[in-house]
Amino acid sequence: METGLVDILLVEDNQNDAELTLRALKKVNLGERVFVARDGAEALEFLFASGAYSDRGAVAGPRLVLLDLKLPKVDGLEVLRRIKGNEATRIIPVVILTSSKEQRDISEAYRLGANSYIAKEVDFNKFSRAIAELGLYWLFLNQPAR
Amino acid sequence: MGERLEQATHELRSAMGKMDLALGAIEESIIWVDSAGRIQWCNGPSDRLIGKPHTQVLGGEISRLLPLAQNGRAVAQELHPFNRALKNSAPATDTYELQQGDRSRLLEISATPVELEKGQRSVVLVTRDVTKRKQSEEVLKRQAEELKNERVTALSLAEDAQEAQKRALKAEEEVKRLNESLERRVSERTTQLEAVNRELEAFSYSISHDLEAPLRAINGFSNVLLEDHSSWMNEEGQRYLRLIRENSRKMSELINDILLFNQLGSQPMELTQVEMSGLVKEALEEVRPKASNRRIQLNAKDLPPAWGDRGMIRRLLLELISNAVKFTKEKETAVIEVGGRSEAGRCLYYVKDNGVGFDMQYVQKLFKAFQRLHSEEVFEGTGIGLAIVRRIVNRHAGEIRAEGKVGEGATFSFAFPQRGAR
Repeated sequence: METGLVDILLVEDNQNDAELTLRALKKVNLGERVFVARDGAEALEFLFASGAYSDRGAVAGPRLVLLDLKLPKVDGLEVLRRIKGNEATRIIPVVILTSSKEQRDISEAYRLGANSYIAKEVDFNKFSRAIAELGLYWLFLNQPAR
Repeated sequence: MGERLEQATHELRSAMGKMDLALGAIEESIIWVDSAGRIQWCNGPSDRLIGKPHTQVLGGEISRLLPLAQNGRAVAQELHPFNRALKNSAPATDTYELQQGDRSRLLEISATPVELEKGQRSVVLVTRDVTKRKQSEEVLKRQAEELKNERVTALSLAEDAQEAQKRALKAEEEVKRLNESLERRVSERTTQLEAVNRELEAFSYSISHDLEAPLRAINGFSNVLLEDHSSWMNEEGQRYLRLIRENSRKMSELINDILLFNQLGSQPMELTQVEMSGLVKEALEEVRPKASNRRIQLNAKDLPPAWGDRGMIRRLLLELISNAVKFTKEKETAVIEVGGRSEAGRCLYYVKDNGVGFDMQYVQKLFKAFQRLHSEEVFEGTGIGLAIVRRIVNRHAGEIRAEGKVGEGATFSFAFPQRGAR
């Protein structure tokens, strides 16, 4: 996958969810510049151009991070903490995309600086609509900092 | 010479008279007896002691005139104090009883042998009435005895008290020990329960995460098939896919309801004043899209505010109103009435509909999880809604009941205690 120009970093360990999310993004033409990280550690390496992604160099970061919470190696809340704790990455909008509806997770995510929190729906129509809307909102409607 | 003798005799008589008067003035009786026990002389008090005139006393036998006894038994003549003094040639003092009629007296008698002339022995008995003294002594002795007894009693009472105190202390220690053991056990159980609770929470968490993911895949890929590949699939195949999609959605609802039901049992409550009328309108707006092709008339009366957890009460109203909408689906116009009032210490509310109603003989089943009165084909739902409602009411220490009649609608009424009335 192209790691140079990436609009969306999707951090998702579930292959099915990743595929369905990509399909939903493609429906609104947002499927081209998406990079999928399969765990928290890979997401961090990608974001901070380290480890397997050290050759990414100073290429601009993604414009949006879709972050699952329950992830192998480094969990979603920790990834969120690192993104929001770093001067270079803290301005990137992070949308939590998870099946957890636990108030504890929601509160903690917002406390750590999450920009939005979306619970994954089982109903694919609702799921697709949510993905499409949030993609369009954060990449086109929202005016980011330069 | 005669004159001098007369003079001496006169002086002697005078002296004897004085002595007589003096001896008559003392308390003690002084009796002079000869060796045969005959009274030779005695002073005035002796006559009163013996109880006869002086003339009858003089020359009388002492043992007959003064019949003595010791410890209730008559003293034999040879043991009479005068005889004892004579026999022992020594003074003897003892205490005797004197019975006179029904009057008993106690006498202390000192018998002193005297020898006026060689071979002529007599005895002087000095008798003192010690009845009163002895009585006083008796009283004192008895009082002393009583005091001693009382002291013994007091001591034994004190010992009893001490013993009781010891027992009380022991009992107290026992209670303390039991309390500590109870506290320890409560704390152990609490720790265990907390552990179980945490496990349950972790379990719920993993259910929501792990069970929903495959369901999302089933639902999602059924959709993908329908969207991208229905061209080569016949109507029957497409219907099966829609069923798969529909059932995965239902299972997801079921999981969510079970999770909610579980959470409601342990979730901490945030008690506030809850504005009910607004929540009723909100709930109807949330339900209305599911019945967009129907006419629903909501008659919401003025509702008193409730004291409780806003989120829970919102859910409670949502369940009841969504039920009312669901069970009126065969009516041309659904009429849902929501009302309430406050009375002594509590607020009462009701949600009434004109739907299919129910048979009152099944009213007990109504609030139990997974109990349904209608088949799912007729009225969809997870069968947990009213169990959730009841749990919310219970958490608020409230009451709920249902009334209905087949074909004539149902009324669900619930009451919450007012603030401070719980």
